[in-house]
Amino acid sequence: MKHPLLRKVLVLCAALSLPVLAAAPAAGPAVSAAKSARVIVKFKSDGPLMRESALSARAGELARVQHASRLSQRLGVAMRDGHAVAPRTQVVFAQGLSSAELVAKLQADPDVEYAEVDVRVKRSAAPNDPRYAGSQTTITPAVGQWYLRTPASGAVSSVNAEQAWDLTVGSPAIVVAVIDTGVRGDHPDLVGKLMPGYDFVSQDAPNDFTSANDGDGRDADPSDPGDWVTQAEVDGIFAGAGCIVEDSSWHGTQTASLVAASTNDAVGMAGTGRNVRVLPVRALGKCGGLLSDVVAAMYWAAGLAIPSSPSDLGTAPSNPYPAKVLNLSLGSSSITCSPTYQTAINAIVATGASVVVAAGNNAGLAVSQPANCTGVIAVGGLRHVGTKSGFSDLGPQVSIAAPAGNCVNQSGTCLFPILAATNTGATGPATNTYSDGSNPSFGTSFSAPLVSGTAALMLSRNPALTSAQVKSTIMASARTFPTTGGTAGAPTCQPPGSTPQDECYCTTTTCGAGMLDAAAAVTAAGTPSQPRALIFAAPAAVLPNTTITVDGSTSVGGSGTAINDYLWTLTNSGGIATLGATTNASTATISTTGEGTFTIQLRVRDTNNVFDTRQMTVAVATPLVQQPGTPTNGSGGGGGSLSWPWLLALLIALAMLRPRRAL
Amino acid sequence: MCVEPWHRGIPCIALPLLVACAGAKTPPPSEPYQRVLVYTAHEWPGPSEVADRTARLAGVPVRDAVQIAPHRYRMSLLCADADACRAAMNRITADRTFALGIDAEGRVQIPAKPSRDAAR
Repeated sequence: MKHPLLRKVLVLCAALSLPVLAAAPAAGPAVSAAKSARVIVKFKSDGPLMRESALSARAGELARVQHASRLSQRLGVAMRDGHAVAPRTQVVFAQGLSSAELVAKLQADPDVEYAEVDVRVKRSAAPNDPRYAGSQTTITPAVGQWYLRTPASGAVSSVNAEQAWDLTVGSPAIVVAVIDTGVRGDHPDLVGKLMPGYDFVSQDAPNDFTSANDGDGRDADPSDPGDWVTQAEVDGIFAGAGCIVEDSSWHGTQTASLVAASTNDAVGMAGTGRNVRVLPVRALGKCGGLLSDVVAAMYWAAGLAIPSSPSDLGTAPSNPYPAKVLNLSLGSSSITCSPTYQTAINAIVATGASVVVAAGNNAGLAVSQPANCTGVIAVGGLRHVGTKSGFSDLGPQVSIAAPAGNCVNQSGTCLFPILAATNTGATGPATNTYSDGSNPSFGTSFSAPLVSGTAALMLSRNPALTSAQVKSTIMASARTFPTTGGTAGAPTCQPPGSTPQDECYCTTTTCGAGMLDAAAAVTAAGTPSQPRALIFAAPAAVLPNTTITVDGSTSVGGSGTAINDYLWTLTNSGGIATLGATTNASTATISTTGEGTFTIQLRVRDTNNVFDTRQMTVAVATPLVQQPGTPTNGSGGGGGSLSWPWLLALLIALAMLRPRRAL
Repeated sequence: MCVEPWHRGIPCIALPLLVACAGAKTPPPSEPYQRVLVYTAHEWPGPSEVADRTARLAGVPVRDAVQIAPHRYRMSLLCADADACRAAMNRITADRTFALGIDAEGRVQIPAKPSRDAAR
């Protein structure tokens, strides 16, 4: 060791390494020795470490970020440098402790802006729902839920949901309202996925509940009793309304399942929005429904006040779970948007909620209302090869196109239907099941929920998106329509006129901006610049004397950061709620003792030290007990109201059956 | 009629039942009709009073009036054709002390299931 400078360096290194070696844990048990840490650490711009780095950096270069040795000295943990991640940000490695333990130590260092585990990001496997996969052997269609998978030559229009799920599997705090015929909440793929909804189908005329088909008007039961239509109804009360004799459609159950069927639970099918929740809002019954009921349902779903209704129609309480997306797979024949619709849509869009509407199935004519209203996301239908479905309406109002289901053949098993949850009942509900190649679902009704589910995924990742941003992002991220691959002789779609247009090659002025790409849309949605607290309560319907869990784990950090800490506060107990002991975790528990409301608040702080606070008011109520003589909603068909002749007949019958004494 | 023997009482049960069955659903209007939403300028005691006033203003019979929200009543105008209905609606809104507005209420439906041919 003749070189004095080299000797000095070695001595210095040895001296510097002493505290590290001293602090390094002795060889411990095998479990401890196997521990290793990999953490991303970002340094404060004005801290000593970065100031030193800046001084040593050459002009025009970014300061070098390799500070493991300095951190090792300070924290008493042997660390080594990993690669730089971003300005002032690097990966560090350590042995003998977990990543979480190293994060905790680093966060205490005054030079560290934040530290987080360098988690392994895996590509999501396809969900294990048995009907999802292609190459089905026991059910039809053989292609399963082709419309959600990665686009391929055999299914060009598939929406690429699988790759979107790599970015987010959806937050249960994001609610999609399905304004439809009601939903069968007992379907295995929807159990636990529904928020407390409402039934807005009011009476057709005084004491006439034919459309409602559940024996009453507006009430808190949004289940679907069936919407079958008889010949007598076509000839009678629905004469001139454009209805036909048909079996129950279970339309709302189908659309709800496409939005948010329980996914990756080894049961049935997958839903586009995966973990997002559905708010079932019933506005349609037999032969559809009335505009006034649909619009009332829309206002309520978005959390807007609607005038309280008089007693004969029921009074809808305020909606505690406002939807961020409203799915309307419905329409009427008007080719202009009525002021009633447009006023409602303007108000709903102003709240930040998106309104997704099916383009319609009038064989390629112009879209009708409400798909033609300003501000909605109107969804046209595509065949599996990406051409316009023969039935789908079109026009410049269409925003985006998505698979609508098609059979290819004209008889036998339908090859590319939209597999969805449904029910076997021709009239009232019977057995829950799924549509398939023999009982196929197709139509733009089923294109819209694929877009609604995608919008909900986008909002799960970036809850700050406005309605306009959701729409523009979906449109901007769409894939280009194909110009080949359709049926031989298929023309290019033309502006709508009086002549129907069968299958045709879409253009951006007829079928929207392109083919829905859920992965591209969720990617383009980005993350919010500020953190966003999200709260989900389970169960959604809260009973007295129960304990519920409030979950903030899907809260989102600002600018791509993570949530650093949580703080739960019961801002108003209502005298009925008690917060559990743990208030600084991602979840908390609340015990209820009686009926009423309470308000829980979540404050989150992200790793940029920025806060966001959100409150949720929860109603605690005992379910209504069905009174004798009142209809049993949701348990089957409807039945009329108990009118005076029935009562008279009943009284007379009872009087006659009364035992008589012999004179 | 409702005396012994017991079987003479059958009509006592059957007749009201028949009446009830027949009357369980409101028969459809035999005339052409237009369902409308009337936004009234002030609250009324009930839908029948609104229906009476609407009928007087419209010059056509009115039926099936129900209140769907404060100041909002749904009813059917029995008018001969679309032009007659439009004229009746105009007459109703001409009286601003009664109606602030009137909308023709359309029926909203789930899109009809396409034919197998259209879904090729």
